Amino acid sequence: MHPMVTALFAPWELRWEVLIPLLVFGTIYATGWTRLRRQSRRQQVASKWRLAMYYIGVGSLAVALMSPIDWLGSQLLTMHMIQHKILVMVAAPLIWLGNPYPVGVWGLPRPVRNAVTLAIAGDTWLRRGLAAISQPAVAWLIFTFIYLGWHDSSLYDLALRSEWVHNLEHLTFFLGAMLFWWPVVNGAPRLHKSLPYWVRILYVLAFVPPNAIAGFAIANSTEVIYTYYNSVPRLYGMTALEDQMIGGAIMWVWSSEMMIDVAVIMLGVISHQEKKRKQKQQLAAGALALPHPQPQIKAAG
Amino acid sequence: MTIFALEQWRRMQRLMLLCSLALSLLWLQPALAHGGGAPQITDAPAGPYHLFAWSSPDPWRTGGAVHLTVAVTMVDAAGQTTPVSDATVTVVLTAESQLASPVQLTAAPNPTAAGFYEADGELPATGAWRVEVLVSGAAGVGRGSFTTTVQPGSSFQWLIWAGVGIGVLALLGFLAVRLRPLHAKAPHAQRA
Repeated sequence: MHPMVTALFAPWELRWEVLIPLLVFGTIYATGWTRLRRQSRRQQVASKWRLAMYYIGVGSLAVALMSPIDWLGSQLLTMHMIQHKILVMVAAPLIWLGNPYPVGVWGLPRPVRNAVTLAIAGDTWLRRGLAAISQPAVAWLIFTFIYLGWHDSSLYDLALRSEWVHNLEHLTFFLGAMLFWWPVVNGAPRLHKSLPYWVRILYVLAFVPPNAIAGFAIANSTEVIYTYYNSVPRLYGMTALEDQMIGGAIMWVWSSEMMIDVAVIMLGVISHQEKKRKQKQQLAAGALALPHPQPQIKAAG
Repeated sequence: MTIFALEQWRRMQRLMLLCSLALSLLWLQPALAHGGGAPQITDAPAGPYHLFAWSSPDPWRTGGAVHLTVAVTMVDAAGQTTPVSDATVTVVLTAESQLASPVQLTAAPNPTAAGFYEADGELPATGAWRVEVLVSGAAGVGRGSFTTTVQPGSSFQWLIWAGVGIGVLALLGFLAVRLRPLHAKAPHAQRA
């Protein structure tokens, strides 16, 4: 068996700093979902597909941070890129699709629920702060800055040398991605007017050029950019430069493809909405064209 | 299916879900180190082996845990690098000032990565320390070494204080939000 496959099936790491938050948020969501479902099984806030999305999202965080992918990331840039893509392109949008805020709030004890609701719905510094950073243009810029900034060679190497910097890198990647996907998924709490779908398409497609340029530059570099990977044994059948080529290609192709996929889905939604609108118009026009029953006056004989 | 049987089936489903979750936790291993660290030895020949070593945190400090990851590999006739997973790895740390007695650690094999060994310890004195890695296995013995400077430990437990600070801020925020409606109601009460 290829050593990479063997490594991927190795036991997972028990990282309490990851496991405890995942269990806490998972339990809060499960409690909220159950409470909402008890009220009504037909409501959309806590549907079965949202439950699935949320837990696949949380599960993908566990895969990224506790599975052998995490350890392999310190040996191969390719695996490190895959780990980052899971955090940014898989976990964050899936968690948003799970509708975490309204469901999670119902999973909290009453005093905490009231406090959280007041903090988000009232005129508080938390709401003002969230509203400021979740403005689509600001969210896009913050995420792109975080995403590209960590790919600077000195910062990337520093993250590999220092565990707390590495954890900070992953945390900022994930939180930045949550910010980025917020207006795309239009998740609650909605602090701004919902973006029209065509604007959301532009929003995600605008991320393709900077990501593609960075990924292309990494993949086509003739030197090892992230020199830390020169200090590891080459156990998986590729040199540091080959590993860098594949890692750069993953960054370039995966993220760009993900954005294009989202744009295509949005186009599908626009087309579906347009079809529905036309159907309604036709129905209305049909109703107008129907001959109105005329009152028949019978002449009195 | 009766309501009773349906309820039993649901209970069974929950139990099965809990059991599978508990079983999946058995797959988790205590984290020895999830990679990374400052490279100290890179591809150094050591008898029949090639050694790699990374230290963390960077720099090492007195009073706190120090960690060393060692990778032991061999290069076969075809030039392919393979991990050596059945070696015994011992780490001996000696203060160059001779003010502290040497510290000997046995590195444990990393269950998630063949050929990787992890050692944890504490160092009692600051200054230059010589770190010697001794490898013994079926192919023979080898040794590699490096020197590192141990810095004084920080007396300020910033992580604990940061946690306390976040806790206090969260509590203040919680109280502020909880008390807000009471303040808002007060003028109405006066007017009434």
